[in-house]
Amino acid sequence: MNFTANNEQRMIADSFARVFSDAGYPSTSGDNWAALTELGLTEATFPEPRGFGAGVSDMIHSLIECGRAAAPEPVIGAGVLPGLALSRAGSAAPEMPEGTVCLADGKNLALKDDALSGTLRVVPGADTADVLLICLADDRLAVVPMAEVKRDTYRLVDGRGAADIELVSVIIADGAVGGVVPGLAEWLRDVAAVTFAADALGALLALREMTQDYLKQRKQFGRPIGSFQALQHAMADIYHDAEHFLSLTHFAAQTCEGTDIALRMRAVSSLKRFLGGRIRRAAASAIQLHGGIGMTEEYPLGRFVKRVLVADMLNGSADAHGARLAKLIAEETRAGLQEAPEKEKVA
Amino acid sequence: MELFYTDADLAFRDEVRRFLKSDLPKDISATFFEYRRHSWEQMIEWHRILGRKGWVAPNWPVEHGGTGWTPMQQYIFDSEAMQAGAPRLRPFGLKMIGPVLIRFGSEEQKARFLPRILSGEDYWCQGFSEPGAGSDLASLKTRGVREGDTYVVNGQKTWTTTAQHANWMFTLVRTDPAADRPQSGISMLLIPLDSPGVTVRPIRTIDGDHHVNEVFLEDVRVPADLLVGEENKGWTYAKYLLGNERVSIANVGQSKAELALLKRLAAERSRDGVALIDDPVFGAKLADLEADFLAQEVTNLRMLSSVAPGGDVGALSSFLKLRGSEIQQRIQELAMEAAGTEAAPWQVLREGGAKDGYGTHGWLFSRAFTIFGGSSEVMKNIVAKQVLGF
Repeated sequence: MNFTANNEQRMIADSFARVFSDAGYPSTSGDNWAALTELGLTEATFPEPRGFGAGVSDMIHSLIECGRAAAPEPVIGAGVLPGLALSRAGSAAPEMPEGTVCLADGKNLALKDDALSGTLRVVPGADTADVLLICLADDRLAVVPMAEVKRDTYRLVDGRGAADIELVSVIIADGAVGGVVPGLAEWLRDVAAVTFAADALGALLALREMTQDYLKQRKQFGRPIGSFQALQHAMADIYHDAEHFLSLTHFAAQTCEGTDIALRMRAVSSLKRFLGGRIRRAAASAIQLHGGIGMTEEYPLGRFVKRVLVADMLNGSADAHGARLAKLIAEETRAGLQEAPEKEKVA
Repeated sequence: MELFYTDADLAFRDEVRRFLKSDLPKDISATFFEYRRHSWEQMIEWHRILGRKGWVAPNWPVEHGGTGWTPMQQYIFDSEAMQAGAPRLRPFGLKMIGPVLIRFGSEEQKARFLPRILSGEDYWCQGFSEPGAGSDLASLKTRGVREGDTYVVNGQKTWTTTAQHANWMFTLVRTDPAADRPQSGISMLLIPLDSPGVTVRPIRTIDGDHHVNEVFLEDVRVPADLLVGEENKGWTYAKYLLGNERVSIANVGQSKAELALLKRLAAERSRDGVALIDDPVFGAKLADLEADFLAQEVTNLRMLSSVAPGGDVGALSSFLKLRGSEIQQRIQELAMEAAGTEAAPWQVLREGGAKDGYGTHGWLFSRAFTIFGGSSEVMKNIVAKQVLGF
């Protein structure tokens, strides 16, 4: 099991970190998409020659840096995810035009006589992308130029860009739709959840450090507030939650590269349940430990907290994942009970 | 976790499974799967079977009779054994005083005690807590006064688990009441429980069982060669021992087995005609527990993988103990909830009660998990100190 980056993974992550620190993140915020793209960082997961086919686990350390810097660039939506989709599809991928690509989940779209219709809600990175890569409900990838859709762009809670997209009988040209890749849509949903979780992990690690430092610096009643036991215990809880979340994130990423679908679903739903429960509470606790300063827009803490919120909101709520996990547990337990009498006979 | 097993790990797991299938007595595994608790005799029987196989001390170095297993192999063995329904071996000899003697004991002590821990001839208990020294262990008052080549020990120990079965007690005594810090005047003595002046009295706990005892020490004469390491250095050895104890309490392998048993219980029980495992409210609680357990399981492996066999787990142990003990409590809690009204009739498990009372007993007893071996509050103090430096 790998939790530390190998040389290549570290190199990519460090390149991300360097662009962000040169830009003065997280105290300031800007647009360094061009700088990231020039270094080949945003399209690392694309198949060659556009990228070099980096996998989910390869990107975890880079995404942690994105979260840690509270970077506003659409690294996941318009970089990591479309690349992973195309690499996974391999020869079943559609032909890709030039320009920035973002990935959308097309489960609610209707395809009739080569015409695609319906609405895509909250597509991260779709505000600036030139091309939409849509994973259809039948596990095929389809390419739609942004010029052919109606787009309503906005900022998410954490400042990253997104859009709602409306497709009205958009004709999918020959070659613009790929072959069936069994299980692709579900895989991509899980992978999207993991990538946003990795970004939230980076944000969480940043807010954990900020809170630790603040508890040491801030004085009330003539002493550092970190000397009070109630606050120490709250800090210890954040510490535990972050370490456990880190373990789950790496674990889930590695299950996305394996063939055991039930294990992947179990890992990803556990991750999302943990994120929406314990990690959201940890983020809230960090604000509480800061007191009033944690409420101000100027102080960077809020930006990290909001990244945790967005990761919780996207790609299936904690409740939806709790329900999926419960169903999985019930199915596995029943299957185990049916096997059990056999086992006993053998024994 | 199979996803992360190497081929060697998989081969090892299969070897462990074959051994469990052939050598774990059926009445012992049935005890677990029938929602009962293992008896002392079953535990000892299993200890001796493992001793003969050479697998009883996975965390000891090979030269002292350990297995030389990697942390991953130790985990595989532990979780496979627990899932097969094996009893959990008591940690007092194998995980507590054994490693202390290996690291700090004299050659004579190692030769005398280690083989008897492995074989199960000796059973140890822990003489640490006192009526006035719980979380503040360093305030302990039991006195050890050197007279020639013996220590004369007077005082009282409490919460002494399995003292009714043990023949030895590793004991913290105050040998220098004038030391500048309370921690500096403490020594560790190995006391035979059949010594004149030792009285063991049972304490009944709220689950109706007899786990713990009071141990009274009146003018107990202990030969000086039963001092561990140096006089007044006992606190150092105790801290090392407590680190190992806390990792042992985190006990992920057992949680994995008990969680699986809980799921089975939830599939067998129903509420208004619906299997509990399909009930959305109960299912949500199970899902949360599953998520927290998975996080704990992966984190334990991540952290323990960084420690060499016999190495010091001190810095990690508080961290692992805190959530591990909470997860075990929640498993018992859901088992109790699963039984519904059937959980209400009083049953004492070792006297034949099963299934209905399983969770109730577990809930009551598991309150101790966040208290013994360092309470959750003390664990948080230690983690905060490591993190914040206060």
